[in-house]
Amino acid sequence: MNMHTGNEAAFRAEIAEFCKDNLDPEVRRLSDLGLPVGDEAALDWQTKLVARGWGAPSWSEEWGGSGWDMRKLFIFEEEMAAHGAPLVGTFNIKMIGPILQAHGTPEQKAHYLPKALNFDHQWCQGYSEPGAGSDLASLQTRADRDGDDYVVNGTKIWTSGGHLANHMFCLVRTSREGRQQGGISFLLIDLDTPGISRRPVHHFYGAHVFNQFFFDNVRVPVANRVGEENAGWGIAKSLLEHERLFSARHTEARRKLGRLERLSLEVRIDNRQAIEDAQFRDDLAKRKIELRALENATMRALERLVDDGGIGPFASVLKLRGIEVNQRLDRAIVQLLGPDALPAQAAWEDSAALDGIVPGEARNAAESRYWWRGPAIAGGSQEVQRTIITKHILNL
Amino acid sequence: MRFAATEDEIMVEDMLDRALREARDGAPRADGHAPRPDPDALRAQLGSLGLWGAWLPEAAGGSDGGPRLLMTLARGLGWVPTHHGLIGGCVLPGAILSRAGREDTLDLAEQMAGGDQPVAVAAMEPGARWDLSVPTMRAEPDGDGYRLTGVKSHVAEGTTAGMFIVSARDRTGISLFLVPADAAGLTVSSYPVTDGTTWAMVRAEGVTVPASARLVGPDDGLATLEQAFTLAAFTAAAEILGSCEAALTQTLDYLRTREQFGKPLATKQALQFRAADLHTDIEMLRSQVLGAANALSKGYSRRARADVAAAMALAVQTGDLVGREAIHLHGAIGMTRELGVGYHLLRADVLSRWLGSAEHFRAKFMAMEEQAA
Repeated sequence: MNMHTGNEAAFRAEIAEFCKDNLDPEVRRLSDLGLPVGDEAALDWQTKLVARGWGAPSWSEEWGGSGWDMRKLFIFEEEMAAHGAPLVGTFNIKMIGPILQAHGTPEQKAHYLPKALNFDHQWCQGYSEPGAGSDLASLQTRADRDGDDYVVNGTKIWTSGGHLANHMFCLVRTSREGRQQGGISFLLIDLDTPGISRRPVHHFYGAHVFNQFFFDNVRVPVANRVGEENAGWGIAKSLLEHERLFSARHTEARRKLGRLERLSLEVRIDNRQAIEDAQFRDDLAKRKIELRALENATMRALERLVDDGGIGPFASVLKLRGIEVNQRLDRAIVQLLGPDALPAQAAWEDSAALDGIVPGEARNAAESRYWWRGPAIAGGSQEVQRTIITKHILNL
Repeated sequence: MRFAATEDEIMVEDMLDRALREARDGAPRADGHAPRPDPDALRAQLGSLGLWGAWLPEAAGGSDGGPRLLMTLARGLGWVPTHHGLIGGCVLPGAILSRAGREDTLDLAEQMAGGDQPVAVAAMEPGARWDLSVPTMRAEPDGDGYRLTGVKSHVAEGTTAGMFIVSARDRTGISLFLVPADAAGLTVSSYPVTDGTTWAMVRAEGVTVPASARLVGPDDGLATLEQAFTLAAFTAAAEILGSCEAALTQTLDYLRTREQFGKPLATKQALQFRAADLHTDIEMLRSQVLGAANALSKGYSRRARADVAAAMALAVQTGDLVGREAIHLHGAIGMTRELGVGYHLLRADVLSRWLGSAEHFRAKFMAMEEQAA
């Protein structure tokens, strides 16, 4: 389907209307502040999306997807973010769902896809290990064939949301011959299987996002392997091109900018609205301009994706700059708040001491800044992105 | 509106590429300079190809090519170190003549579109930086005409123009007057500018002009100037984009071939990462210049003016960074006039000194955003 301007406006309006009718204001507030909305609210929101046919728009229609073209998918994501919809079930909807549709057996699809869509299964991603971060291909967790099972031994770490998950998609070593990348398989693991233990790994400012998993002779049926044995690397890298557009994370940056602009009317500098302060105004202009350029860059990428089917190393440009833009916005918010960024997230949950004294927009400002150090390290660090760009521009 | 070049634009890019390459390859290497094409010949050639003033409306001597074509032209010129004079000799006067829409200036506009530089714009004044709204040049009624007195500073292409468009305080507003360069009482003094171009100061001591010389009256003079300088900033941003592309391309070629410590510089990660960051900055600038071109193509709106200000703010910042890094990554040879890679820093600097700093354009951006909201 080709979106014309009129259709596009109508579609954007339709999403806005849906959010207005279905999004609990408290959930919207939390997600605008970059906070998790909680299991119950996430499930409730996903149920509403599924009922509307929007639960997993990028999936094939057979499995509950929308059949929209890339432009429409893109608009959907933008509008959802613009209207404060929470980001829920990313691993389910954007990772394992598309991977199974592309590489899964009919049995795997029939078993896992409906449960991923309705959140019966909560997936997490088991890629990184203590000794294999940016150099992921050096991973050591081993899966040895024993009859109809693999026996898995090793450990996975930096597992975001692992404490909330009941399933993990996982890269394991099934061969030590040849290139490292050629000895990796892709396994689906039920986290209730005997031999699995987990521990929280707290972020430096206290949040519980990461986890470490230990696998001690864990038996995983061979039927849970996705794709051929030793073909896991290619599967893990086959993330949909469409998702790579969002490596700029421009919709999250847009939310942060909204927060900064609201604060600029509320916070006073030298007894004037911050927006009247020359230094702040110039900083705000910098943030707005770099975000606008990033949004234009993302639209260029979308156009190229529609034309050519891929965006190549441009995804690295988007990730590199997008994360910087997000980080600078968080920093600007904290700087503007000054002392009002002192209270920790817990202060907002447990006490009324802050009510009416500290702007509500201050909640989670500092923690968000701390959390956003992570994306510069994860999913191919900024240095990995620079290396990809370098290879491209220097023809190395 | 799309970002990718249309088939027509690709055709124009190819024509332009050929013309610019010929000009560059044919340029003499004189006096230890990197080759610099002869600007008069280049303009004449681009004029005869129908490219130079094609961005102008048909009624003002062009062929309605619009902002996208102007962007393509300016970006191409950014690749070639030459004193092309597009902004001072075509964009500023062209935008004013086209908004004034007077039939008796059509032949001036047509000359301009063909590559001549018959008109220059004298709108800046000493001590006012980029504020065009406070001229001290006075226009007083004198018989059926006007008498002009005052000083105009930093007039690009002012030494070759036969005619000036001069802004002056006219009762309650600012009017724009056409003043011949040889008018009695008008003094034009030339001086060299840091990028090697020649500019002019213009002094008017009781210069009398007929009533018909008033091109734009006091109701619309400032708005006309603002539109012309917005288009100039847009053109400058596109030129700086081309300039950055050229500087980075030349630098990457050098990193691939120059060996130190027994290996090409391109193998050193410290240099690779600097190059990757420059590439990323240039991609952002390109995205914003394209965004501004598309916004302007839909009309001269506040949104379009905000996008132009954003593009130029980024261009000034990026042009300065890429210009400095291109020199540094070359090492000592980067410092030389003979290599000439430093031209890109000179040029980005001159465009920013002339049209406005990054801070200036950020302030403009904020004002436009607030008015558009």
